[in-house]
Amino acid sequence: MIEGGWGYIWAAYGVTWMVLILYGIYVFKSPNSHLQ
Amino acid sequence: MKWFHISAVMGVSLLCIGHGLGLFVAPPEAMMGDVGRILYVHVPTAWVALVVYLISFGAAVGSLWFGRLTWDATVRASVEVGVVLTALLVFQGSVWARPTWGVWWAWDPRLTTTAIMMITYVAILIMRNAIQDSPRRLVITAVATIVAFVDVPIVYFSVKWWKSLHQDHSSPDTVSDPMILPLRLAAIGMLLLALGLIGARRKTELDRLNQEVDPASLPEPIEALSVPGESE
Repeated sequence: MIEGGWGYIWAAYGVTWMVLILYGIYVFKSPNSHLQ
Repeated sequence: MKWFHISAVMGVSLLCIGHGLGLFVAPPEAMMGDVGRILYVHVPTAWVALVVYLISFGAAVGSLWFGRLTWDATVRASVEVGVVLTALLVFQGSVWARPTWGVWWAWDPRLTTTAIMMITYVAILIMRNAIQDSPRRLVITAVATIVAFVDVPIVYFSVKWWKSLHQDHSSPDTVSDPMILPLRLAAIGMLLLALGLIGARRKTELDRLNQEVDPASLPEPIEALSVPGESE
């Protein structure tokens, strides 16, 4: 069994959540959002 | 509050629960240990990316068939969300490959076809942005999206057709019982979030298109065209 590896785990989850949050802000708060 | 806001909020909530269970409650994977927990973020991202491209394919067919901006905006929104998910998918896979395969990247059929898929859809977005004429943009985007979809089933079946480095499909049928719930919750959460993002992006894009396009300039809906001699 591979020991440890939490750095890889946090990298995968951290980057995923960061991108989803930033893209979510871009989508829901875009310059045209006043039209929604 | 619109349906896509509700979908996104529910999606984020389920994703939090699924990832929390996967990280802190589910047991370590037998061979990979803790690093196997990347499963709960990587596999749902992969499933939903392919579903989103299926949505873009359906919207592209609708776009050609009806010639309406609503379909065109759905194609644009779903391709963009699909590209974001595929970029995340490739990153997660690379981070997972390093401790398990010993490399960040391998020219494995699954990885290669996924990279081709991402580059193809990015090219569609770039090409679309370069076309100023709305009717042409609608048709060319739809045709390109339909053609690009050819690679999606190849990505899905690549692990069956070419048995290589990448493992076979992971699903609730192929993982241990304690892994099923976090996997399912994360997958449903990611799907609802993706639908919410598509809905919001589609609305913004449609508003923008309606401001710039004269609806009379769009191509005739295919269903409204008549065969010569049939109209008499």
